Amino acid sequence: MSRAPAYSDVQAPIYLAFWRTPFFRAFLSSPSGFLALFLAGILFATALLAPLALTKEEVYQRNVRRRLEGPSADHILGTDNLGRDILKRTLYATPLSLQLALSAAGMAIVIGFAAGAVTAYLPGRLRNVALRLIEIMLAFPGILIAIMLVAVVGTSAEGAVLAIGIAFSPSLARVAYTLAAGVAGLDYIASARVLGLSSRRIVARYIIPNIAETLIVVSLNATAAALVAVSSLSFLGLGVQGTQFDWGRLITEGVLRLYQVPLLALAPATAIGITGLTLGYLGEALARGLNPTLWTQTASVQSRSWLQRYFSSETMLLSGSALLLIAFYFLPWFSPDALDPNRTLVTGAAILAGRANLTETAIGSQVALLLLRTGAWIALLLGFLSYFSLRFRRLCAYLGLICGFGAGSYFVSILLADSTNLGAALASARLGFYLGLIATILLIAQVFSDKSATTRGSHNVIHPTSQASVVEADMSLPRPLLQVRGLTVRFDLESGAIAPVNDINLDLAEGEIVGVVGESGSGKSLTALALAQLVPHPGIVSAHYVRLRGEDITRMSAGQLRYFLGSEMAMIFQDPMSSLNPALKIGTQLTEAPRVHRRLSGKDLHRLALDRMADVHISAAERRLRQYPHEFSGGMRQRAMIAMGLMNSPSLIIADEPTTALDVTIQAQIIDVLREINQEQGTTIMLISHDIGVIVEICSRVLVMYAGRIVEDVKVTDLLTTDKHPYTEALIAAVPAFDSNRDEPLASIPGRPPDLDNLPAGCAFAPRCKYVFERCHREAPPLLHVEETHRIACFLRTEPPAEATRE
Amino acid sequence: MTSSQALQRHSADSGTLARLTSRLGPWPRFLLKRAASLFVVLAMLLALTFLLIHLAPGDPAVRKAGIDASAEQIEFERKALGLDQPLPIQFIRYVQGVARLDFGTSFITKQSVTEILQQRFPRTFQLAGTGLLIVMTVSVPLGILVGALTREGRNRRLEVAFMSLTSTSSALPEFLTATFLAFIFAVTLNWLPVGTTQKSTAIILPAISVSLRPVASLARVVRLETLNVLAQDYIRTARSKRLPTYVIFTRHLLPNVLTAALTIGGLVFAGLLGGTVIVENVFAWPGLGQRVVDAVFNLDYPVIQGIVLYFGVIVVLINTAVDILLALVDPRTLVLSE
Repeated sequence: MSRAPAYSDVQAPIYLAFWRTPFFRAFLSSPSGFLALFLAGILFATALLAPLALTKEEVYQRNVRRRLEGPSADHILGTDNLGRDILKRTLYATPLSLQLALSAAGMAIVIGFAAGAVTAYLPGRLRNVALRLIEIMLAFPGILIAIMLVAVVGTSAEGAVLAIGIAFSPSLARVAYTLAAGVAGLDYIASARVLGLSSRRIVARYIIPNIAETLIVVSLNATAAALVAVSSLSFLGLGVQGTQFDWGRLITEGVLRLYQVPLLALAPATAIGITGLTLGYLGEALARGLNPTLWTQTASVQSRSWLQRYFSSETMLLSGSALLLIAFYFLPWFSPDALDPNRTLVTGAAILAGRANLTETAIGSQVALLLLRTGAWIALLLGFLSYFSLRFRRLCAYLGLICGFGAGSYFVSILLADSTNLGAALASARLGFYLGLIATILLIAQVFSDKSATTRGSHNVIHPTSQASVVEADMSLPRPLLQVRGLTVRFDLESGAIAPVNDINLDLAEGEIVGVVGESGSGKSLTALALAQLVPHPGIVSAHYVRLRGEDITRMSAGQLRYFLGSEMAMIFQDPMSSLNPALKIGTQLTEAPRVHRRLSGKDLHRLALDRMADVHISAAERRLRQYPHEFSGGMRQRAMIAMGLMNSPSLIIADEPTTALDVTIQAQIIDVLREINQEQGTTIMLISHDIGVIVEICSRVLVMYAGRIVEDVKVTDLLTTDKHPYTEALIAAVPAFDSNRDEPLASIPGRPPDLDNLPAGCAFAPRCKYVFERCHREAPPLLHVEETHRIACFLRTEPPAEATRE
Repeated sequence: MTSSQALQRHSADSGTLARLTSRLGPWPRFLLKRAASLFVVLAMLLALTFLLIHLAPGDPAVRKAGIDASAEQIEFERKALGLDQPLPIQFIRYVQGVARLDFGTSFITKQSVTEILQQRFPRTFQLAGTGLLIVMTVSVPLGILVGALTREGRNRRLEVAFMSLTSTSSALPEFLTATFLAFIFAVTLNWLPVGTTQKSTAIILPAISVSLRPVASLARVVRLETLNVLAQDYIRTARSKRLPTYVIFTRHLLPNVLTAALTIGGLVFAGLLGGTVIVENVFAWPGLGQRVVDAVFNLDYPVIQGIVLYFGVIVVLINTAVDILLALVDPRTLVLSE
């Protein structure tokens, strides 16, 4: 429901043809869309044609001599206890079953949505009472409520519909209430109101599009549930009465004779299953189509090659289930005596020519074989083809529907084969066959006219500039604690690969506090996560080496790594509220690392925890350890987080924006605590921040990152005096000071941070740099020493062009 | 939002109760509110089941006396049922009866409803209990496992398979599952018995039928919650502490996931109970569900009243238990409810 307000931006222009709309593309972007249309076609055709094609006698007439038979040529699925055809009865029950389900769902939807919407606009106290009522009704099993209601209104089809309609309405009322109450309170509705849009426009433009998806999906789910519930009641004998029958009632008869004729129960059961699946797929596909946030995702799927798409898991899986369904549907016609290709062709030709001089068997087996199998194969073919290209997809949707309809009508036609109504049989068969034919011709035409090649998304190639720089970056610090060479984090996305951290070389000396600064998206946090081996999936970390205390952690086994990093490195994260587990006591969270890595327990562990809490100035530590994070204040949580990091006396603490989520006064506390730890325990700290002020306050050295690379490595004391990287210069200029002239606008860096999947060829900062010259657009500048303790990645500083030096 | 949350919000709004309880500690306050809402819901249940007999078409006295009964007989039955009294008196008598665990006698079998409940409930309890056991032992581990394997968009194939499987099985009504299972395991393979309660294996098929739908829907919720928890910052913190995977899962993930599972546990149980009504009729399992359907056929009102009330009380009690359990597991619930 937290949809972006920019709905109208992504909404398709009105003049787009329906099949070009993003809705339709998204609808069909997964096989479920196609399957939904196909199955819906079959269902509708059956529901419409079955009562027309089948006469009452066929369905009701008893034939005691042929009772409880297995499948045969005459009775495809066998006969029931009164000698009636199981398949015909199952098909004949389709319209009634669907009608009951739809009426019950419709009733539940009308009652529920109305009640929910009204509830949302009731005054406070009354609304609470109404909500409470809805909640209570929701807590009870729906079927039990329905059974009770049936007892009141009487056992009949109408009674069942009424009972289910009422029993299901509370859940729909809840959804409607949540939507109505939620949407009205959203920020963009408020802003639309402030902008002076009329109520009708707000409803049409903002509210309806935002709740339509949920309403439609919920309605479809309700229909599926109503189908199940009504047939459950019929099954129990509390629904459809007398000579009428729906699927549920057929199952009741079937269950009694499950041992003799299993198909008697299985045929209507499968019909319910298929209908449920259809509604489920339809809901899934509609939700996809109506959710604008998913449209772009669909587009990214497009950029995969057709081969990938063809063999994608979804296609395989859903095609498999489609095959199964269709196989079941057409199983009866794969009997050996029907497989005579010559006669099939002759019969087909005869039907096409309109000559009705056919024997009953010809229609019964041949027509069915030819037409049904054609329809089935076309539909299956289309199912697969629809993933080859977008252009096919719209066609496939129509064809899927046509074929589904066609298959349905063929299906009915065979039922008439042994009936007296030959004319109707032929008309039905002919209609289906023509539809199939049209579908095939359209398909072939489309195949030949589609000459456009599939365009692929261009793949960015990442060239690590490494090797040479490995030697270059050697800073020969006195006592190096951490040495990193060629650290790169890569994400292989469908649109190409990106490297948010690219070829980082850095050294940290023991006891140093080093700052890492950069705009958001510069890769500083990801660098920290990469050092800690915590990069999220699907990021790939590579490095020449990452040595901590001289040990290369990239070559360690998982077990070694766990022990080594567990005791040598600690991390502190940005938001202490979300970074502490809300369900565990602070004490538990503090002690679990030393318990595992140092095998401490009992009193020793407790004393250690108290010591560390004292280190970060948390008073009443004994009591605090027993509390939960929500009982701490923000600053105290972050100090507890630091205490947690200190538990194993690590040699390196990586603090990722530890002060960003806190008030300015609290920030100072945290900075002080970090400084004390550094001074008293000699812990090396890598402090990541976008706030250069914080860095200057505490760090001795600063690393400036831009677009995944280090662009400058400089002592904080030199920051204001020497020549710097233009980006660093701009960062410093952007910090407002108390003595800045208030009349002048605040300094900001022109342009936008770079797009990682579309980096410029040369220096990434070149487009925003005011000193830019020609070479910057050609090559990426390497990070080079300009002094013993100063590295810069900028041609202006390392190899200045003639005119720049004159300046 | 769950029912318990909504109930809490409601209780927080009602002024008098809040004032009354403001001097108590969080736990007594919480329990008092639960007791109050329990009382209200039970009162509503009583009223609804009482109204059943009056909303229904036809005269219960005629039902009881039989169609060819004389006018005197009908009048006698009406007196016996107390239907000649004004409604409020009837309601008070009904409540008094329920308080004495006297729900009246069946019109048809003349058996007392209390006796029916005593006879039938153990069977339903056996079925629902086994079902609940299956739901809990299957769906929670399954959801966590699939959630862990599909986190951050890993294993797309598994995700699609899981989603298709669970959406298909949650779309299958209980009586279909029951029919299919009976066909496969009883008819075709002849492994398990149906239509009997004599053999100990007879409960297997009904219990699976009744639990398949709740298993599927709960496993989906657990998986979503697992994904949700795994994406939390505190899991990253736990990983940064280099805790062994099993510690991360059992200590940091499980309590949070279980809380979510428990929150919808009440609804799942209600669904399960509804399922037993259907499944009992498929497998001729002699529980309350089978009896209530018989009673509806015969418009045997006291039996319908008694059984619906009984089911209702169980659901209400379970929901209250879930709420209290939730407060024990997750102490934030207590704070939130203030």
